[in-house]
Amino acid sequence: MRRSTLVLCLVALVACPSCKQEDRMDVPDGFVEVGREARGDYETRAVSADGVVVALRVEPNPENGAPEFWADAVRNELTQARGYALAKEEEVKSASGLDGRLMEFTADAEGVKAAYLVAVFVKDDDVLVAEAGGKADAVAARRDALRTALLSVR
Amino acid sequence: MTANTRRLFLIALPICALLILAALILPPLSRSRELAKRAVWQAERQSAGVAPALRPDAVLIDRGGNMDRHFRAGELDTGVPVTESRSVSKALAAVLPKMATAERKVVYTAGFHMLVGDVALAQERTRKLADEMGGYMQSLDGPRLTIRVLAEQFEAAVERLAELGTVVRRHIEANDVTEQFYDLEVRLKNARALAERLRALLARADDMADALAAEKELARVTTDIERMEGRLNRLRNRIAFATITVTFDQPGDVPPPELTTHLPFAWLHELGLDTLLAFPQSYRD
Repeated sequence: MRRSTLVLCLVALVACPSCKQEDRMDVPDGFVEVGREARGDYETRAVSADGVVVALRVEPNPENGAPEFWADAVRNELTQARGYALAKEEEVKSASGLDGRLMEFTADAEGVKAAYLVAVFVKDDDVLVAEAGGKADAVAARRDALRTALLSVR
Repeated sequence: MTANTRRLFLIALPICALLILAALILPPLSRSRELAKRAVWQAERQSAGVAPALRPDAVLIDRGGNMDRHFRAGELDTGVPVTESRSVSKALAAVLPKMATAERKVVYTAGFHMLVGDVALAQERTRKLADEMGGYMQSLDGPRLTIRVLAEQFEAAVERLAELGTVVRRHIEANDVTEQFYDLEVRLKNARALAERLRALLARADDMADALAAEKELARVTTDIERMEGRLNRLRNRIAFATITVTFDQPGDVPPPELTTHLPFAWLHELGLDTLLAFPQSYRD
């Protein structure tokens, strides 16, 4: 019984395409994950008491675009069409070993300086986009923790 | 070779053979289905007299107002660029119903840059328009307002928005997510079936090790199911509600011609602090 159970479990694991581990990220200390309704289009979304938000977006990668393609697309969209200024850009590796790019943007929201961090990775058929942002001083105060969270994507 | 090893070998051998057979048969079947789907779609297009045909996975882009007005697909069946001089409403009328009848899942997105006399008044009218179209305001960031309207009201909303002022720039996208949607549905169905099998195994487990192993696996599959349900719900929401972003400016601030290509991936246009930091109105209330 025990061996046949094991065999059955193995077969189910091999045969079922849904059995792969879903993507996710770690949320930094001091953040609270919001419920499904408030999550919107994000797979994970958490907020700090002072309004910094960290979130993970999982989007389809239908034509198997490379991480460089998606990172360039994100950077171009934000800088050319949306008025963000690129402050820093670096090639990174996630904690789980995915190659990607971390970009830091600044923006002026009606006179208030804002910071926006985006990390882009590709995993299988998905594009993983980890985002963090808020008022510039609030983001700067927890920059390392946010960076760790964005790179925890797996 | 012991009797136990032989028994295990006899169980594993046919299973491996079945898996290899499935791996050989499924890809060609999938390709056939894709070709058949495309052929049916193409036939529908031709019978409706709509040509040239965009591929189901192509993207419809329209730039309107004082700028160039054309339709551009990521890739066309003819393999050549196409320029259309039809109005937006006629083009939408030709394309949207066909998409709906083929049971395809499409995410509609539009972006406007408009000149109006009173920005605040125009924003208020846009919010009311969203309410009337069964939708809601998603975010407001200075002159940039994003609303969601019921997908079936998309065409009407685009037409009514264009009447609020002078359209400087406009882009319209119809992003086909059919494959992604049904793939997720199948994966969810399979995961639910697996969870049922694991529950049955758990009920029959006759020792602690089996029970613990089944329970651990069941917990993992249940988490996967919840995540997939979340993704499917979000996708359903994107399909059910079109996203329209409108940037209002006053006359005199006419921006230079836009040379930026709007990549046909709707989520790219949803990036940014205004979306990240804004929670749904209903949640805030």
